[in-house]
Amino acid sequence: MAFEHIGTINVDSSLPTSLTFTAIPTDAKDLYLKFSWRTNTPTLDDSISFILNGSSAGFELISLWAISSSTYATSETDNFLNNHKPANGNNVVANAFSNGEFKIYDYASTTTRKHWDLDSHNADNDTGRRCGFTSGRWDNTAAITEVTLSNGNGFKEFSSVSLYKVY
Amino acid sequence: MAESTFELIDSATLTSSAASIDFTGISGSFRDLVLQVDHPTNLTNSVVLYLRFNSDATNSYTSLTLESSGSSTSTQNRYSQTHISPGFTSGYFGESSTFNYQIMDYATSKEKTVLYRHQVALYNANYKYTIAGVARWANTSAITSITITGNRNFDAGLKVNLYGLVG
Repeated sequence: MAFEHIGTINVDSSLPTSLTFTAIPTDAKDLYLKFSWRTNTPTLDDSISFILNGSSAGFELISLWAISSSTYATSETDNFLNNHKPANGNNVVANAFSNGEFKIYDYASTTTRKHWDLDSHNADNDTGRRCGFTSGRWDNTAAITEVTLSNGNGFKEFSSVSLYKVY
Repeated sequence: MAESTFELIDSATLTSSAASIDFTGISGSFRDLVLQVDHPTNLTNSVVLYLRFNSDATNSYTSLTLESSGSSTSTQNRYSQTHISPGFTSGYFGESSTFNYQIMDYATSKEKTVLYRHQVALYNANYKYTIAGVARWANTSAITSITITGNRNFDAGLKVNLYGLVG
């Protein structure tokens, strides 16, 4: 397995509400998107919308997550990750960003529906933490050439996302 | 020519029993570090792994681990620890296993997140599990050294690889 770096988006102080990779080459097998982010929402944890080729339709997902010592499971038919909540909001301790990665499998195929995974960690404070694992499907056979992560309140400065192709 | 973005930084294979394995002088030129610990089948003793960064022995490590035994789930929630410990054993009953740690944004001024997976954990017909979890080091210093210890000495044959991911 070989990784090739496609690009990195480093967030400045402008609180962008979306982070987008466009014109993704379709010459590899999988995509890995690694993130470190924190939103401007005044909460501990926050949702992120996962958008492929500009589309928010056709998503299904199932999540397993834990908050401190309790575990939860749910399924959704949207792309909001409302239960997994893979982002730190702005009420967490300073310098704490949530981290994780999306894996998008066979993204260049034009014949298969697209499956993806998300693993993430949120550090709320010194005693509270949250981790989540989601598997999802985008009910579309188009090759993926654009990936967007969005949040209505914006991403805080020093957030960053990096996209890789995997051969 | 594809850019090489997943590079081996250092590796160690123990030729005799040892209490610890150290990686020092880690450069800050990567986005993430990946630490892989392989416990071969021919080792005698199981061992619980501990990770420590920059020789920091203060109570600044937290972790949250999810376990599946095949029929039930559980969590281990640890905070104010002096090291990261998944709380489960690497290598048992003569079975091989691999621990994979992703140490994210290790060179930034953010607090540090670690995602970990126990890649293989099928011990025997009556005892098996898989785990996934997250950890946090509440420190904004760049990680320049990693110390791996355990609840007992490591046997000769234990393999550890440290990789860097550009981005």
